[in-house]
Amino acid sequence: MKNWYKYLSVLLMIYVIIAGFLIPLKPGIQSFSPSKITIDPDKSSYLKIKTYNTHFQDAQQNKVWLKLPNDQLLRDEKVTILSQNELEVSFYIPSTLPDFNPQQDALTLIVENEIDGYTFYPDAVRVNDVSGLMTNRNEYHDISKINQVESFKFPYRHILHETIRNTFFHVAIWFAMFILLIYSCYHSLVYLRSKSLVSDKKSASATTVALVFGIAGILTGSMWAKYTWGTFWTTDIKLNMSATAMLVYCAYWFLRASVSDIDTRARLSAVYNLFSFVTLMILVMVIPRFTDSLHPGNGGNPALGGEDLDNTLRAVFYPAIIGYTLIGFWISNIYFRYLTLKEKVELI
Amino acid sequence: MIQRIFHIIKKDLVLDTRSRFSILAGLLYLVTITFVIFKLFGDISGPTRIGVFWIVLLFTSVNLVSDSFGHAGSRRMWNQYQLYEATEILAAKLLFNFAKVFAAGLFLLLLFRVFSNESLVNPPLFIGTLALAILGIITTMTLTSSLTVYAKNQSGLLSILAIPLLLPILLISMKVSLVSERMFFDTAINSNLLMLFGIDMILLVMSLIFISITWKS
Amino acid sequence: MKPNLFLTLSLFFLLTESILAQGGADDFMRSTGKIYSVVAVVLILFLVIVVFLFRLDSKINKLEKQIHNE
Repeated sequence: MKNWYKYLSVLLMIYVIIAGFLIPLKPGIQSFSPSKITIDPDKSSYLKIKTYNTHFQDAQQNKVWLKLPNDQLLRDEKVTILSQNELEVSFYIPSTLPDFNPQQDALTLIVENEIDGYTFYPDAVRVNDVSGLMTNRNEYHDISKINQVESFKFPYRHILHETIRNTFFHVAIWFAMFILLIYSCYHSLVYLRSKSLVSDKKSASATTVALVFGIAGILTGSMWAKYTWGTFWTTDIKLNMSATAMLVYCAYWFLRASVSDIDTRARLSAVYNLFSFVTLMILVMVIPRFTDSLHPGNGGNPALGGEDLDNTLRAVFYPAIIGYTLIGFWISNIYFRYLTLKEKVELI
Repeated sequence: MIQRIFHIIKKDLVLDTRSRFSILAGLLYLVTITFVIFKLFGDISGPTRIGVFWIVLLFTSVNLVSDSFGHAGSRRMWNQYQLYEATEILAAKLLFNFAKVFAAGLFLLLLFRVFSNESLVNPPLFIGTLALAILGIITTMTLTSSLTVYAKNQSGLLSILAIPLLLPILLISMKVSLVSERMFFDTAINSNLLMLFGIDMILLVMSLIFISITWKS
Repeated sequence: MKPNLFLTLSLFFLLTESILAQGGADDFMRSTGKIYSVVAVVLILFLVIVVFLFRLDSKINKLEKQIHNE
């Protein structure tokens, strides 16, 4: 089949859009109040918890735990369910907790039932120590008591919420752009060896599509940024790096436009393409290592951290990259044919 | 080969000194731009002063490097191409441009010293960073100016082609110069300098490879 | 075709600005776990690619006319 990659790209994109939108998010804790508990040895402490995607009313055994830094658990006294995603819980917290420093440590909040499994909010609740009274009313539980429910769902991240799905649309298009740029550089190299104008046109069309993908990446990125960090444009280094890449490839187009001789144009643009690609690689490799980034899983490592991309995300993210790349090749193929036609017309 | 390189430099020097106006004009350009900047800002201090210094240096080097290969079809360029290897011409241009831009940088530093009345905290570190940064800047610019020889609008094209590529060098050298002025604290200063040096070397090797491709007619 | 590109861009900014003007923490785009911002991202992606394809299409049309005339 001659057009296999076109069908494959369409199939992959259908899969990405359907799976990317329909696979639900894991439950998560949205907010709780109060964030600091003052211990009263005679009374229980109350917490009001708001969650996302949970089924408290359908579940039979809703439990709330507070995890100590030494992995021991404190169980709730009573759970009052307000709605599917809201509950109120009371704890009895002893005034002296084992291996716990109220100045530094905080308790991790864990909500659990048999339908949703467990979800936690790390270092959530701070405790104000008031008295040194020792009480023995408390039992500590082992961490293995927590109920695990296996499910194929996207992870819940604080602040990101549903926008974690943008990984398949915004992040994947950057990867596709980079693959197209590498392809374009390969053809620039081929041009410099063989001097065939076909490779020059292939390289130019791949760069054009990469530029379009890059513009889409910047626009979608600023959209995403607006709803996670509150601004369209941040001083984040990754954003500015990609903006630099866009500037460079716009300059590439100006260079092509301002040289009239076909062979000179091909030669110069191939050299500029390779030169700027290496410089951009330096930028990508070097700069993030000494500046912190807002992007999840960053600060020190330019690649996507293993912790941030779990297997459920990977199952959609990698097909998305392949799908975008194939669509990019498809469009660049059309652009290549346009350039060929244009050259023929100019020669007439 | 070294003799031949110095031969080209000598020719360039003669051409530049013959029109003494150009050197004086360059100096006057720096004085004027610094004067205007200090008038506009009133009193610049801190990181802004360092940033403005790098920006002025960047545009000065665009001005100084942009015509280093002359125009396409000009007779001088053609003669040079006949007599020497492309790499020799590049080496000569690099040395010559480096000397020019480094001198301009030192002069600019002096001007900033006079106008802002603040002396450098760590002169060897600052001037060392300046030298490394200028090496990177002029390597990129000399290669890109060899690309713009065939284009219509030379200096405009040079700045849009070269300036985005200079971002890594400028970011690192800005950081190092802030550290050298004690405006920012960082212990990894040596690794930053090493990184700058590494980038310079990569750029040098690349431009030595590419010049023989672009320098053909 | 150039005015069309500007028109699309300015329309895009007008649209986003008008959505944003409503502001607040509980606006439409932030409701139900910010899912509509994902929809917006997909739409932008689609629009950018479609605008590019339209421009390419019109360029090819021009060439075809030129060939036809000769």
